[in-house]
Formats: sequence, structure tokens, C-alpha cells
Amino acid sequence: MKNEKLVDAIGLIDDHYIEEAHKANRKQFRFSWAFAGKLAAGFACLCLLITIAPKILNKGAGFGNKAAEDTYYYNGGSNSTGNTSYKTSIPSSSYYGDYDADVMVEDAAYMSDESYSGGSTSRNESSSGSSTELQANKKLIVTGDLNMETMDLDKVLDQLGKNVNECGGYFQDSSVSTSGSYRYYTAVIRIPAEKYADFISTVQGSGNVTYYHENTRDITDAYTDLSARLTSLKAEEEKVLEFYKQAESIDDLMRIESRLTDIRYEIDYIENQLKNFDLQVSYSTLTISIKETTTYTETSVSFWERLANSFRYGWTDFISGVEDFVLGVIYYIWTILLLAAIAFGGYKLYKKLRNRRNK
Amino acid sequence: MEDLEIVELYWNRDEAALKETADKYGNYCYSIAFNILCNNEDAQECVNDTYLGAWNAIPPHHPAVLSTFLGKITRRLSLNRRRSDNAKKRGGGEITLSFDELEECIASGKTIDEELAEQELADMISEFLSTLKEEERKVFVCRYWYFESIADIALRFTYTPSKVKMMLKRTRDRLKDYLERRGVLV
Repeated sequence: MKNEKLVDAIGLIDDHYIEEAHKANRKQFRFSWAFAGKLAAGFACLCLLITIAPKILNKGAGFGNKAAEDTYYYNGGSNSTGNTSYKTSIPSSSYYGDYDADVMVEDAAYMSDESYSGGSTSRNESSSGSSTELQANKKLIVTGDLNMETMDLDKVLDQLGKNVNECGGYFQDSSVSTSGSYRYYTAVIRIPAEKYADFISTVQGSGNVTYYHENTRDITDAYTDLSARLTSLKAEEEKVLEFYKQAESIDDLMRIESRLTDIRYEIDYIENQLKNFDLQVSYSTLTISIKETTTYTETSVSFWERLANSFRYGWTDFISGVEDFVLGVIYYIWTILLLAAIAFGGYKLYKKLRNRRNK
Repeated sequence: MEDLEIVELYWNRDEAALKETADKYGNYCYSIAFNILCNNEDAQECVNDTYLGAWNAIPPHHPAVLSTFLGKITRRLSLNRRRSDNAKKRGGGEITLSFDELEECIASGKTIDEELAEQELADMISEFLSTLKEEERKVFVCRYWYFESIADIALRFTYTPSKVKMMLKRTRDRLKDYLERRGVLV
């Protein structure tokens, strides 16, 4: 009965308290160390995921679409005979999308017919006399992109420098960057066109080539047009000079001089353009990217091999990601500690003020 | 609809007041009744009785906070029903039934002295509650006014159940001391 009395009396307490309890939010946030721990763990997992996921996804994408990625893939490191071969399989489910795939197939055909067959004596044994003559008359600008990986970047760079010097080329641009524990080297190299094929063959033997793409642009028509225009302008210049000599009035002289200036300006412009074309034709451009790595990317396409590689590289990337994460945390440790101290101080102050208000 | 408008409907003896009350506070009243009775049908009946009680009480009452007013009615009805059920289980039989029948003839089952004493005790408890921290007070009211389970309270305040139990135990001990110092022996 005593309990009943108390229960009944509690039923008559101030409405304010009843309302207050009723309005108490469900899942109201309350700070606790357990909550802070869970939050920190969640944050750590998120950071880890963000650090690792791109690597794993890249790796996965690489394996999942390996054949597509390597549309222009060289058989890395097997260049003992000096002959290189493109992989012939260009899958329909291209990593680059339908349009790019079409363009690449077109380019490949073009290179095979004109640039590859006739241009490089060391790369294709089917080079014939007629194609060489044709090549001699053609103005072709060759550009290439080469991605490769190596376990000893310093050695490869040293070798690369020597090769460039030997073939009379030069570095237009080069840089080394560091990402995590690996280094990336990128460079734009200009190589004499006639030695480009030899150079590529040499370079691709010094590491594991993961991607190669060569593009040949035929500027013969444009070059011929410009040359013809130049000839015509020079002939016109001679005639105008003759008129200049025969001019009798000042007005005539002024008009002829004005025309002469225009012609000479145009001649200069065309000559510069032709020189520029000549430079591009005589020196091929190779953009090379070299990645320092501990394990080479496999070129296998079998499912089980890809599966095994996925596990292997997944683990490697996981470890790498963990290392990056730890380094990142250490890098930001003072910021984290400062923020934690501010948060803790703020929480304590808030608690103190709240208690004082309640009293 | 605002509480004042609903109360106005009661005062105008408009039956729409019952529908509005059910729409707005049906779940609230049901949760109180169910916490006490632990039975769906009984709780629903108590809620319906609450609407009837509110219909009879307004007017003359003009509650400032309708939810609390309804909650109090539901709580009282549910407790009475539970006590009645318990008495029947103990073998009250016809005697209990007859008391129930007679109960309708009197305004309240308590004497004026008892009601005054009860109100005095309620005031003391209110005073005691004002000395508590806000969280402790809310937890206490949730447990002993709304009869919410420990698990529900823990979920609502994001505490662990053991923390809620410990908090309630300490509050009960302090209430006991408080009442004893005031000369109330409960």
C-alpha cells in the first residue's frame, strides 16, 4: 500500500516535470568516452578506406580490364631480337569507351600501314623499298606515350640519359615526384625520328612496360601546300622588286613597298611554320612515365591468375595504405592533439556551466 | 491543431474534440496505458476511457497543457484498472465487482484527508525533483510516472541499462532520505 501511495503521489507532481520528461529527445547526444572511442575508430577506418580504396580500385580496374588497358601494350622485356610486337587483342569492352577504342583501332591500322611498316627498319621486317621511298617523301610527326615500371629507378634513369645522348636526342622536360614510398618519373624526350624506333626498343627493355601508344600525324599535304605557297610568294616578291625598280612616281613606290612588306611578312611566317614542321618531323616526341615499384604488374589475363594477383596486390596495397595512414596521422598529430584538447576543454567547460545552472 | 483549439472544442461540446485528441495524443496516451497494463486491449480501453474522462472534465477544467492533463487521466485509469485486475486475481470475485459498482456512486475512493495528504506528498516529491539534475529528474519521471522500461529509458537517453538502474537507485535513496527528513515515512 505504501508503494501505491507513492505511485499516486508521483502522479500528481508538477506538470512541468511530466512535460519535460515527455519531451526528452530520443537518442539525444551525450558525450561519453565510449562514444568518442567509437567515433575515433570509425574515423580511422574511414581514413584507411579512403587511403586504400583508390589503390585497390585502381588495381582491380587494372586487372579487370587488363586487356583493354594494354591495347598498345608491348611484350615487356622480351626484346632480345630487337623486334617488338603489339598485342593484337583489342577487346570490344574497351576501358576507354567505344569512341576511343575505335580511334585507337584506326590509329593502329594507320601506324601499321604507314608509320610502322615503312618508318622503322628495326621494328618490322616487311619494310620494302617502295615504302621507304614513300616514307622519304612523306612528312610524318611521330609522338609516343610510354608507361613503365621498375624496381631500380636510379639505374633506369641513368641508362635513359645515356640512351638519349647516344641517339642525339634531348630532354624537353623532366620531373620526379614522390607519392607515398614510391617515386614517379615523367619526361618529354625529343628523339631524332630515324632513331626513334631503336630508342623505344632499348628503353622498353630496361623495365616493365605497362602501356605504350604511338601516334603518327601525316602533315605531307599541309607541308606541300605551304611550300607551294612559299614558292609562289617568292616569285611574286621578285616581280614586285622588278616593278619597284621601274617605278616612276612616289605613289607607285609607296604602293609597291607596302605590297612588298606584306609579301615578306607572309614569307617569314610560312618559313617559320615549315621550320617548325621540320623540327617536329625530324625529332619525334616521347612522353615517358616511369613508376618505381616493388612488384611488377602482371600481364596475365586468366581469371585465376587475376584472382591470385588481386589478393597479392590487394595485400601489398593494404600494407602500403596502412603505412600511408600511419604517416598521415603522425604528420597531423599536433593538429589532432590540439583539436582534441580544445574539444575536451570545451566539453568540460560546458559541463561545468550546465551544472552551475542546474544548481 | 493547437491544444487551445482542442480545449475550445471541448468547451463548445463539439465531438470533433475527441477525434482531434485521438489524432494528436492517441499514441501518447496508449504508450502510458500500455506501460502500466502490458495488454493491448486493456490499454486501448483505458485510452478510450481517457477521452471520455477528458470530455467529462472539460469543462469545468481548462488545462494549460493538454498532453499532461490527458496523461494524468490515462495514468490514473490504468493504475486503477491494474489494481482492480490484481485484486480479482487474488480472489476478489463478486466482492470486488460490487465495490467496482459502488465506486461509480462516489466522486473518489479517497477521503479529503487522504487526498490532501497525497497532494502534500506530491508537492514534496516535486520539490525533491527540483533539487535533482535535469537528466536524473527526467529518468526518474520516465520510470515512475510514465512507467517506461529500463531498456527504453537507456535507449532514449543513450545510457547503458546498468547506468539507468544505478541512477534510479541513487535517486530513490535520496528521495527516501528526503522524505524521512520531512517526517514522511513511506
